[in-house]
Amino acid sequence: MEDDLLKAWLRQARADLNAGRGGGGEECHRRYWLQQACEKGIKALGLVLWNGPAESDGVFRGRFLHKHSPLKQLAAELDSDPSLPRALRMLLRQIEAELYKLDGEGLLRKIDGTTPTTDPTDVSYRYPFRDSAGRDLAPQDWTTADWDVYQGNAAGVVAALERFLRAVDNRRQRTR
Amino acid sequence: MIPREKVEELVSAHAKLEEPTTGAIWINTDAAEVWLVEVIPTMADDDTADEPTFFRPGVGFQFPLALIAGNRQSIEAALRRKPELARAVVDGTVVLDSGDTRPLVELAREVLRAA
Repeated sequence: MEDDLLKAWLRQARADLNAGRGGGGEECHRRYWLQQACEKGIKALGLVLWNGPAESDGVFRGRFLHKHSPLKQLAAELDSDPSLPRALRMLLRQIEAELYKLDGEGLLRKIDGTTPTTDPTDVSYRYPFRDSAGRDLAPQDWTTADWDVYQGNAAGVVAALERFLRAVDNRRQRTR
Repeated sequence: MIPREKVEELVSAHAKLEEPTTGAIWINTDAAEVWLVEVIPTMADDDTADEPTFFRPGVGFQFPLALIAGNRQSIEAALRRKPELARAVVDGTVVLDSGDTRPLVELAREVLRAA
């Protein structure tokens, strides 16, 4: 059952990655799918590592597995709510240590810090936003160079995601 | 047995995090899991610091982990409370010491002498 859930996250991450590197849609769409692939890959890694007490499973799901930008969100929630289980704080550290080893360039962590948002002052993949000059932009107005600065170079992002998802899936297969 | 360099690599990654580990002792070195006692100064005081957090084998670090972590005061209190943890620390291997690890080992020795 647990392996089925992990496989499902990885399948969807892989589908998102394929959509992100495909030729369809605008740049903002492709970038959005790459962000989604990263998000699901990090959640899959969390599932691989998580071995917390059963009574913390609900918190693990609610505060990590079902959140956007899971690392960024979990860090913020741990800062604002000291009563969260220590296992969750340790999980965040362990995922970050894993990413440090897997992703020396820091691309995955950079992508995790980006997320679709309706805040008009934040860059979003899906919603109009206001740039630093005060202009209202649609995500599709941004050039590849703009997205490169925000999310990272597209080819680099795709390669980092490929390596990451393959490594997590290999780990899953070795321990099932 | 898990090679020491693998344990050092993991501790080194923990030491580079935004809230770094500043001290680490590898205990129960014959166990199937890597058991680490880590000092993380930014953690809040915790009177359950002696309770390990378990992780399954990861992707970059491919071994199960049992992590006992807390700030120095919490780890000191845990050593005073649990002589068996003090024994494990005395018998363990210091992997990282930024100045707060050796004093913990010394404290563990005192605890055992007093027990």
